[in-house]
Amino acid sequence: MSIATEVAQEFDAGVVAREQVSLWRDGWQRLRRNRLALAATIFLAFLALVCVVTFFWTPYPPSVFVGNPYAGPSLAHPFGLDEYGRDMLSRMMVGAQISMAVGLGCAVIAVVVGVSLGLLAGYLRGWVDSVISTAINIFYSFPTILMALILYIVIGPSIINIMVAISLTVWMDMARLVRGQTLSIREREYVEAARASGARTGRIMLGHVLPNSLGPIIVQATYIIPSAILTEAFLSFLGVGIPPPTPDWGNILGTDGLPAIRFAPHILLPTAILLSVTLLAFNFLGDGLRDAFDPRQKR
Amino acid sequence: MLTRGTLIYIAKRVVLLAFTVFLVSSVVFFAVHSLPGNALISARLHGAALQQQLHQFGLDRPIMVQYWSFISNAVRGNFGVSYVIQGLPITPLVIRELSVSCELGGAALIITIGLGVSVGVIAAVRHNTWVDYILTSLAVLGYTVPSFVIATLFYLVFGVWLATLTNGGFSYPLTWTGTYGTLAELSVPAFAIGLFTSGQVARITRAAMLDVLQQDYVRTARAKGVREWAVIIRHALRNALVPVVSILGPLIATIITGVVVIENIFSIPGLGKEFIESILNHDYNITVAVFALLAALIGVANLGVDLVYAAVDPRIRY
Amino acid sequence: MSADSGGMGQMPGSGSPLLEVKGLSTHFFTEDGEVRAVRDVSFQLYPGETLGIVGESGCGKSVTALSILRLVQRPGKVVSGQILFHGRDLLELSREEMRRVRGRDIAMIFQDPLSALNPVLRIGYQVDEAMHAHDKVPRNQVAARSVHLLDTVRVPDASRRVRDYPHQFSGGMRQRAMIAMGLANRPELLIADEPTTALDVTVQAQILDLLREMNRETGTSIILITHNLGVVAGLCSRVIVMYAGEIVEEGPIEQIFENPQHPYTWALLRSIPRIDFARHDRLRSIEGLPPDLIALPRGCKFHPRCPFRVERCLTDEPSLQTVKGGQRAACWVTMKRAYEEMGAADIIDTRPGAASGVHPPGFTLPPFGAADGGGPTGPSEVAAP
Repeated sequence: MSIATEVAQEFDAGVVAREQVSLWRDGWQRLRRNRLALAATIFLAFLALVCVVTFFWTPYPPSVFVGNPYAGPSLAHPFGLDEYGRDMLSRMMVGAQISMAVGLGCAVIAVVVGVSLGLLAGYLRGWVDSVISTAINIFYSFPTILMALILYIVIGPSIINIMVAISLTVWMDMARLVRGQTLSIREREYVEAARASGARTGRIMLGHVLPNSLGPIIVQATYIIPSAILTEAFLSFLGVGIPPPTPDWGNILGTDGLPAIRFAPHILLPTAILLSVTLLAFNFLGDGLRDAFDPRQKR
Repeated sequence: MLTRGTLIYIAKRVVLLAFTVFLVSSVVFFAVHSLPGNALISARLHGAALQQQLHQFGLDRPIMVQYWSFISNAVRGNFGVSYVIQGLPITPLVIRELSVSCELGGAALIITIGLGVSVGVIAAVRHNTWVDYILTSLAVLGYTVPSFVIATLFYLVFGVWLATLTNGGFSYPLTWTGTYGTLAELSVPAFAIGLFTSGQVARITRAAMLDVLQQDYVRTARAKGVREWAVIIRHALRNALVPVVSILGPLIATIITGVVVIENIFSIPGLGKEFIESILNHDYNITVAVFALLAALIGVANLGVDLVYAAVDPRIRY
Repeated sequence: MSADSGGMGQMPGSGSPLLEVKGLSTHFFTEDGEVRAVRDVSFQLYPGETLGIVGESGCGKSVTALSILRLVQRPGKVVSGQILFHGRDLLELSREEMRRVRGRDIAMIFQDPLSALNPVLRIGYQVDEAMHAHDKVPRNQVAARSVHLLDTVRVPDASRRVRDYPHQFSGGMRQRAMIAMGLANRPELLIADEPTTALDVTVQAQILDLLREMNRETGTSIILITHNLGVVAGLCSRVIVMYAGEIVEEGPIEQIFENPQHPYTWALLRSIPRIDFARHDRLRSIEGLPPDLIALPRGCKFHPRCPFRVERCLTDEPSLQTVKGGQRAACWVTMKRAYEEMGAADIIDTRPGAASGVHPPGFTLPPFGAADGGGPTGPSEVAAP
């Protein structure tokens, strides 16, 4: 073979070809490799399963006296009984349902509100942005508990009110994120092209800006859920959240667990651990998603 | 640094602060008085006795008259008297409780920043070693596990188990003595709050340090022959603190939330405990006063944070 | 001070070299593989000399400089070689001993003065710091000397400016401040890594003037790293050309410019646009890309892009051979032979639309249409001997 061909081949061989991967497939591959995120997902899936099962069945009715108060863990009652003789395991399961429902519900509200406001602020800018940004800053410096308590005083305790109160404490992160994303995406060429071809503002926001921010939005939403669950838990813990006798993790810790801590720590401990692990799981999942979507990290 | 511009900024913020406190108190006032008889539910009075109580507290006057009297008294520092505990003047009570809460919050803040920054710096400098992994894991635990869970666990470990383990010989004092407690009594609650927030600070400090240590000016400093510890502290950390200060505002809000919760767990006679108690007891006169003070505290804290921010980053000038 | 030849700095002193780099190799151990950024680099620097290191981005010139001061960070590592400063091997020094060398005996200034200066510390503080880190300047004189240094580098109103922050300085002033920091302890060697790249052309000239003055008046040796041949011509007396991590040519500046022997140097010099070019000439770039430093080609690293390669170039790696007094090139062919035997002088493709004036063998340009009017045909395969 002639020198020319040989050299041409060698020239090509010298160039290292990298496999082209789409963002989503790349992200999925990276996520799968992240063992912590994987473990977190498995745990959360299990928890979701428990929540579904609880709709139909719990070992014992959660609000009924079934044995001696403060009884410790036994074969019949793996987590013991609380101060009213109610089965702890059943209460924990119902508590899981409520905490997850409230957490997810608030996250949904916060995402909807945050994304909308963020889009508006970032795209329209001007006075709209000023107003929304000021609101974001005000809410940031306001302790969650004060906000929740104002609402508690004014409207009284009920699940809806609590969800509204909690959503008010977590929407800001999403709004700020979406605003930042919108501000940068709106300058890109395809947005300019859409504008030039006469597309309406709403269409641009929903059809161009939003899909391109989807990655960070999903990651942020995964972080909002544990914040919501946490806020809800400590409101109930203090007694200004979900009213008893409905068992919710915060209630179990605060109303049932804490007063009995000296002689019946089995009421408090499992739920505390369960709550912590759930929050950790969501955080690890969020971290995993964030790393998976981060375009700056090479494969 | 204390330029004319800065002073004008401070003045503007103080005005804004006063306005916010006014607004918040008014909102709460009207919220509290929006339901008639709301404030005296705890007394469970009816009929004539109820009317007499209402009259005694001036609650049968038209709402705007009540509001005006509230405002005019409040600006003079008089928050009225408690509904529940007969004749207890609110103002000295809440002022004292405010100082207790500030003590607790201040201790928590010191722990937050001291522990958080140190952990973050060490983890960043020993990046990707086992030291880093351990410290980062601790930080993750710190900011995920809510402060009230940490507090109850501390209560369990230090208050209950420690005593039983040593057969009563060595027990951790959990009840708060006097108004301000001792240093030992302060440390557990302060840590319970501080651990949570220091985890966040550690995470941000570590990330910021990792970023800053890649910067050109760190390389320049090393090229000048500056000693390594000076490079880390004077050059890297100094710049890494900027993003840390930026989250200080929400962080203080979290600390205040933590203070409220922890005071309730450990029975510390501060504003937080009073707050919840007054709500549960329907002693709403106190609630309004507490709210006003808390709003003022938050405003002052945020102003402080903004000033610190300007001090740390010379590119920010008011 | 000897008479300088057209502002080129002092004539290289005789005697022993100030800095001797022997077989320096610095590799980066990354996830993708071992990047051989600097491979077996050797050169010498004499007191008072101004040496230029030239090459395109990624050729290893900055890494070489950083290796001298042992500033290469993870995952990079100096894997072999010696760096003899006054006969002492810098690579053998302890961390503390090396720290004492940095900023005191050997100083380095960097490319982008905005990012190379700490934004939250005052300029004066940063200049002071250079002196406080070492023991050459007594404590009580540091502040005054900082002002004096800023004055010397012609920062206006130095005594007031000392309290400013970097963002309050202009680009040129920041670079002067960096030079002041570098010279604070009167180092014997100043390494300047692309000091003018981030600056306007007019400011570039001022900075180069300044460096030349420093070299002339204080006898400070200078290593100037740049990809800009014009800058090198303006300041240096000797130049080293680097490609793909190794030295391909070195020698006195006039010789290199007038008579480059390595095809890469030759192509570089040809690629400088000149005012006297005919208008329709396109800019002459070098075909191809620098090699991947993880998977380097066999033989001469430049051969894939070289229009004068012979069979030997594909298999044997050339080492530096003396071509003329003081000038060395790492090439089996050298331009001398290329001109004499390969018709290098004819390799000028002035057809409008030609991609460049230089092609490696194996490329054939597509035939032009009738509109061409039959000018000189472009280079077809250069026959291998």
